[in-house]
Amino acid sequence: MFRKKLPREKLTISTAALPDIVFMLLFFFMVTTVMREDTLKVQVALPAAPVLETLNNQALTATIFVGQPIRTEVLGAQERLQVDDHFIKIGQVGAYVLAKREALSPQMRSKFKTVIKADKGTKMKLITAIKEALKTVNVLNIHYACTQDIPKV
Amino acid sequence: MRRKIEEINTGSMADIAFLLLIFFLVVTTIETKKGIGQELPPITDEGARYAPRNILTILVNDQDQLLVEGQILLPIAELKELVKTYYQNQKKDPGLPESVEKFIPGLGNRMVSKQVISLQNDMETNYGIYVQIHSILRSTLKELRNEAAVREYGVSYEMLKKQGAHAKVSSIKSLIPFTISEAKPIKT
Repeated sequence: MFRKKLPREKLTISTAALPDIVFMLLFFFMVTTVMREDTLKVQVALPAAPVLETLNNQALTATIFVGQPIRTEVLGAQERLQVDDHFIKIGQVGAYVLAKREALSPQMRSKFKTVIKADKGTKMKLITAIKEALKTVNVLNIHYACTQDIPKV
Repeated sequence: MRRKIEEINTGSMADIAFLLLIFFLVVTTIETKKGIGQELPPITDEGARYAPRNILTILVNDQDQLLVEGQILLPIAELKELVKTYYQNQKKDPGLPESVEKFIPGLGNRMVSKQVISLQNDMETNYGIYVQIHSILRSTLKELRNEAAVREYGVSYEMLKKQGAHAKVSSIKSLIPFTISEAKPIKT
């Protein structure tokens, strides 16, 4: 006998679990996101180096950005230093770093580090000047920020 | 007859979640925490004096080329082996750095190399190459200290640090001192 054809329902994939998956990803990114603290005014392409150390506590640092201004057409191609949200001159580096260190509690001051995030094309003239400035205020720990360079085997 | 409970349509929930997800994806910046540490020497009135044979001079010019002990070094990766050969000086070559016997707490008398690395660069040298040289020197130091730690204690230097064996760490440090001078050293 011929079976009478039943009106078949359209087959759909259940998307009920989709929000769960998306939420999971969302929470991951929400937790890991660190909002950028400083708006960069200089172009910084970090140099790559094979062996690297990891900075332990970012609260105990002062960051100096070094590179050409992003608005080169207005500000010129001369490399500049940036701290927080503004440009500084090389003569102000010492005072800035000292102020940052003084803001820490006394037992933490020995762990203070100056992080230099400089463009790889920066001339050593400027870096040496920064180092000399740091030496004169006796803030001696430096950390050069780099990206990981995978060594060729 | 009982009324059926109305269900809220959750179809658009995924859309909302996607919107938020994309926002965070865009905003996220992976902060770089990696880098190379350096401790600057304090300002002193007079420069240290070293015998010429103990100084390994590395010059970097504005073309990012290396001149090590008066010889052009082409691949930068060779620097590591060179520094090691200088440091260990196993053949007691008079042109290479000398070692002196020194008492090290916890180890006794050991031969300690007197090598000093002098790194000098041109005003126009690029920062990128400078960082690379630094990182190579750091990794050489790490390897030398690891070798020494394995020889003396049977564990690597990294392990000693992790275990918090401060006395052993400082003995290895004084067994393999590593001085990088960036000032112009005065030859005696």
